[in-house]
Amino acid sequence: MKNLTKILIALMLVGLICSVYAGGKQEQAAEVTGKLVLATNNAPEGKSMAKALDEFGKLRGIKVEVVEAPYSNLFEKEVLDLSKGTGLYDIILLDDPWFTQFAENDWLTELTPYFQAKQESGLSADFIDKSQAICRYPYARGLLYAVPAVGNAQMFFYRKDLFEKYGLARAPANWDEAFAIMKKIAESEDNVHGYVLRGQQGNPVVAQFMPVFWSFNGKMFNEDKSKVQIDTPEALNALNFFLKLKSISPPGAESFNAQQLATHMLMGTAASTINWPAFVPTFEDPKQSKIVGKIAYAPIPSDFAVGSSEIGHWLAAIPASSKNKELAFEFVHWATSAEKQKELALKWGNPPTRKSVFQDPELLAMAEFRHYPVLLQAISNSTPRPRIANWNEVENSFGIYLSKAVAGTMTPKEALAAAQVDVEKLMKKAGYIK
Amino acid sequence: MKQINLARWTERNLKYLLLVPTVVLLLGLTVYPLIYAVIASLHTINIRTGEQSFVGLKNFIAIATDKQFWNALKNTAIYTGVGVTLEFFFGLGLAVFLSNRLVGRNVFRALLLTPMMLPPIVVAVIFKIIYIPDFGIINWLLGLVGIKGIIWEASVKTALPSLILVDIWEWTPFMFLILLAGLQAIPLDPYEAAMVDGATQFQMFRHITIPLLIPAILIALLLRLMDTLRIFDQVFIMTGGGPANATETMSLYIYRHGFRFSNIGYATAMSFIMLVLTVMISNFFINRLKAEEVFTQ
Repeated sequence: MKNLTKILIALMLVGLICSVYAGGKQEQAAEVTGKLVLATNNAPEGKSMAKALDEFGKLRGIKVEVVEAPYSNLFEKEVLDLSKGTGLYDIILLDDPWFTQFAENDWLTELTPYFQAKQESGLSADFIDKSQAICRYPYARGLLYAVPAVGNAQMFFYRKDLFEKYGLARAPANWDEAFAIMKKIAESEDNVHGYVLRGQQGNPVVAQFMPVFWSFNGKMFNEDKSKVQIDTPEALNALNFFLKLKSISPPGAESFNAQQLATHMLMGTAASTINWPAFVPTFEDPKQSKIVGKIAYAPIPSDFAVGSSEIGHWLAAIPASSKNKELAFEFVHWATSAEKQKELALKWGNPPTRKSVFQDPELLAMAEFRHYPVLLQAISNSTPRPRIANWNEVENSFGIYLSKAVAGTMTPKEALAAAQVDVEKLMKKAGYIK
Repeated sequence: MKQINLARWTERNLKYLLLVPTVVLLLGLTVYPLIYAVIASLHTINIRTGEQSFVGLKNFIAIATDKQFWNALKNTAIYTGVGVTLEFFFGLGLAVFLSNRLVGRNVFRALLLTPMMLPPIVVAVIFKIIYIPDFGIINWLLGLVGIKGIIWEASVKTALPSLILVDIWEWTPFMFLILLAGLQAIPLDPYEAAMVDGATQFQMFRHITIPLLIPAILIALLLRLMDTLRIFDQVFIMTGGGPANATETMSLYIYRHGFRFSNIGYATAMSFIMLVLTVMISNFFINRLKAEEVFTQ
C-alpha cells in the first residue's frame, strides 16, 4: 500500500514537471510567433485563403486556425466578434458591402503604418484602382483598412454563336443593340430565351438591377448621401428597361437566384445574362455545360452612361481587437502578393486583384483564364454598392419594391416612389439625411 | 451531535439537493434569456451603431404599425393553418391505410419516412430545381396531362401555396408516424364489442378510433404547429420572402432585423410577440390533453 502511494506521488511529480516544461515551451513559442485565427466563408474563394493560411503556418512554424462559415453566417459571426471586441479572429475575410459598417465603427486596424514598417508607402499600385478604393474609408480617399484579396465584378455573359447568327459578330456595345439581338433570338430560336433575369427579392434582384441602373446614368444617392435619387427619370428608364429584359426571360425569373441563371445558360436555354465570374469554370466544363466554346464574356453594355458592373470583392482585414496584428499583417501581405495571387488563381481559380496577375502571359495562354482581360476591364470600370453603413437595410427595402415591380404588383413608377419614401426614412434614421 | 444533524438535514432535503443542477441549468438557459428578452424588447439596441437606450413600449408600438410585420404574421398564419391541417388529414389517411394488413406494408412505412429525414435546406434546394418552370419535373409531368405554364414559387399568387406544398411533402410523414403509433396503441376489445353489436366500419372509426386517438392527434398537431410557426429554411432558400413580399414569414422578418440590420431590440420585441402567440396556441392543446387525462392516468 505504501509503495503504491509512493509510486503515485512520483508519477504525479513527473507529470507536473512535464506539464510545466511543456507550458513554458509553449509560452516561449507564443512570444516569438503566436497563433493566427482566420474567419472566412466556406465557398471556394474563402477556402483558398484558408489553404494559404495553412501553408503560411507551416512556413513560419506557427499555429493557425480557420473558422469557416456560410456567407450570411460569417457576417453575423464577424459583427458579433468585432462589436464586442473579443478578439477571436486575427484576420477576417469580408464582403466589400460590409466594409463601410466595419470601418465606420472603428472595428478594423488601419494598415498604412504596417506597410510603412516594411518600407512601403501603402497598397502597391499593382492593385486595380477600383479594388483599392473600396478598401479605404471614406471611399477612395480615406484611410486604408483592408487589402483586396479576391477580385470579382459582374460580367455580361452571352452566346457568341447566337449573337453572330443574328448579325452581331462582337460584344454588344450598348443595351439597344444587345436587346435587339436578344429579342430576335427569343423570337426565332426554339427553346432559347433572350436573357435570363435574376429576380429573387432582396440582394439578388438589387444586384441585377444596379448595373442597368448605372448604365442608364442613375445614381442611388448624391455625392454626400444627403439625397435619395430613386424616384427619378433615370431610375424609371432603367426599371422600364429592366422589365423589358424580364419580358424576354424564362418564366419564373421572379424567384431566380444566381444558380438558376447559371442553369439556364448551361442548358443552352438562355442567350445572355449578367452574373458573377465564379460560374466561368462551370460554363467551360464539358461535363456540365452544353455551351462550351459558345459562350463569351463582355463588360456590361452601355447606355446613357458607360456600362458598369457591381464590384464584389472579398477583402482581407485585421480586426482592431486582434492580439496578433503584426503577424496577421505578415500573412495578408504575403497572401496578396503577385506570386501568391497567381498561384491561388492557378490552383483554386481565385480571381486576383492585381493588374500584373490579370495580364500574366502564362495565365492568359490557358483556356480557363480567357475571360481575364474582360474581368480586368469590368473591375476597372466597376461601381461599388453605395458606401453606407446601413446598406443591408437599404438593399432589403429597395429589393422589396424591385420585386414588386418585377412581379407586376406595382407599376415601375409606383415602386420607385414607394422605395424613395422608405429609403429616405432609413437614411434619416441612420443620420445621413439631417 | 453536529454530524447527526447534518446527516438528518441532508436526508430531509435530499430531494431538493438533487434538483439543484436541473434548476440551475433551467434558470441559466431558459429563464435568464427570457428575462433578458423582456428587457431587450424595451430597449433600442443596435450593434452596428452601438446605440442602447430604454424606450419603453416604443418597439411594440412601432411593430403594431409596421405593415411588413402584419404581412409576415398573415403569411405565417396561412402557412401554418393550411399546412398543418392538410398534413394532418394526409397523415391520418396514410396511418389508417397502412395500419391495415397489406403486402409490403413495412416497405411503404419506411419509404414514407424518408422526406422528414432530409435536412430542410436540402429539401428546399431540390424543390427549387423541381419548380423551375421550363425544365422542372413537375411542369413536365403536368404538361403530359395538358396543364401548362404554372410558375410556382415565382408568382405572387402561387408562391405561398408552393411553399406550403413543400412543407406538406416533408412533414406529413411526421403526422403519419405519431398517428400510426396512436392507432396501434388502441386495444382491440372495443372493436370486437362493436362488431358484435353490428356497427359499420364508419361507425367504428367515428366512435372508437377517433376518440381513442385524440391524445395522439393533439400531440401531433401541437408539435407541428410549434414547428411550423417558426418556418425559415425553405423560405430563405426558395424565395427570400418574395416575390413582392408574398412569402415573408415571421422568422425571416425577425432574422433580417436581428442579424442583417443589427436591430436587436426590435427583433427581440417581435420574437417576444411570437413567443406569446406560440404559448397561447400550445396552451390550448396542452389543456385539452390534460382534459383527456392522458397525463394523470
